[in-house]
Amino acid sequence: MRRALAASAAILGVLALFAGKAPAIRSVAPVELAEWIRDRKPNLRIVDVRSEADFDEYHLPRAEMFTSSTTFAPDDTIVLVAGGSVRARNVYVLRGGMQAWIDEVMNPTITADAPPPVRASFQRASIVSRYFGGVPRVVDKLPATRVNAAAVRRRGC
Amino acid sequence: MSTPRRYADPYLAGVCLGLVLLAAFVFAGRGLGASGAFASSAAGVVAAASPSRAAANPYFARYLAGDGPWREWLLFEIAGVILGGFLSALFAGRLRAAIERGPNIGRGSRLTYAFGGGSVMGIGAVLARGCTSGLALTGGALLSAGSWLFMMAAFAGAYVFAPFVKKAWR
Amino acid sequence: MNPLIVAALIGIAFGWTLERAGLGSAPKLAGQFYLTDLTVFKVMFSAIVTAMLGAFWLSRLGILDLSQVYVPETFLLPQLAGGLLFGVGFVVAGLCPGTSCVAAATGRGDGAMVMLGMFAGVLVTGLAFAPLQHFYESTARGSLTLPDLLRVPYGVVVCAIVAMALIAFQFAERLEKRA
Repeated sequence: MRRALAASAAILGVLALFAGKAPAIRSVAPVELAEWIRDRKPNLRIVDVRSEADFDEYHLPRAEMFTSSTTFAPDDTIVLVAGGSVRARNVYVLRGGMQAWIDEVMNPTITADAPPPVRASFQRASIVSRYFGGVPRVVDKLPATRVNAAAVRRRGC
Repeated sequence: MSTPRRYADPYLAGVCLGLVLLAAFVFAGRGLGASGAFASSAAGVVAAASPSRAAANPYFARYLAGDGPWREWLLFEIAGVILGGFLSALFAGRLRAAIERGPNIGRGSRLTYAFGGGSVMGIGAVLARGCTSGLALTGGALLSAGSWLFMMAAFAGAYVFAPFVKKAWR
Repeated sequence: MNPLIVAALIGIAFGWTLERAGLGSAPKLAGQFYLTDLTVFKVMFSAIVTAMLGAFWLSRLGILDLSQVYVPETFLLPQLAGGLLFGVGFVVAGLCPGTSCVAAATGRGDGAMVMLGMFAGVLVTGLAFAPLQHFYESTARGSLTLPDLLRVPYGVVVCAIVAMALIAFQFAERLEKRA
């Protein structure tokens, strides 16, 4: 049994040398996308794949709804805005979806005692946040969040 | 009492442990941990004794944010660890009230070493932001540089200090 | 499913596996540091290799998005100092935080005492945190990984670690036979 385990590990390890990069769950962070929009990145297409009702309630600036007649040009940079991640080639997925846009661009929030690296990202987010009419905030106590990467970072393991 | 069963093959157990860790990545978006549960409960205890002191303390304050120190992921995980360890021992006939120690040390000394060693680990875990479960295992698997550094330092510290506590174990 | 329930379920599997491996017994763990019983090394590194290969391949196949998994951050000096201290405490206590819970759960009084010591150590360090804060926050490197640090592809690091682990396991077997 040990030999089988060792052999499997060895094979998977050697194959890892030839595996290349994880293909396509390529995503763009909300603040970077906001910068792309503000700076009028050429051939940028923001396609919201949620329902019409959701789209009407709130959508990103310059976003379009995904319809059967939506067409793309070969050198378009396409950003899909959705709830989950999608696999494809020259396509970015907004990392964290709508919620992340709201949390990180429209309402970036840090605590007063945040360390310098956190403060630096907050500065960057605040600039583009105000451009889009968002509200950056510095608070005493962070609001309750789902268990996610940001929450774990604050507490350690 | 039934004879206790033999321990599992360490490599097989390790692979199973690795699969549990992988399941945590997939289903919880994070890895394992242990020292964080101690930190969170310490924050909770301080907050219960003196809320203002806890809130003013830069280390404990972070555990008071969000849902509070008692709804901490790691506390629920450690509760599971206790239950899982108990069940495994139960079914393997290894439940036993005892103070395990080396052949040349008494129970009292062993308990003192246990408390002392535990406290020093506590200091180390606060500074490093984790322990063997959170850093060596989780960070190790995810190739975090600081976790590998912690792991090597921990092994180094243990091997260098081992001769000084030989009487506890040999 | 409620994340806290997921935490408990994962914890049960974690605790079960540790006990099955014998890591709920302090003398067995301590044997690692006298080179008589290398179970700690074998279990730990088999687990690391398994989870590392799993994370790499699930990510490569597009099943797991590693950017959504929390990677423990790097703080060079605190983790070096914390690691050394932790190692000293570990060989004195014979149990680490996780295994102390397993030991206590199976009736071992020493396990319970290690848990108490851990709690005391964390509590006192937390209360006396102010003078430590500057050191604690120093030398931060964020989510630095070995591939970033060594400027080498992820797959190459994975392969190298598997190779080193398999070689190390051979040494471990030989060391134990001589003990």
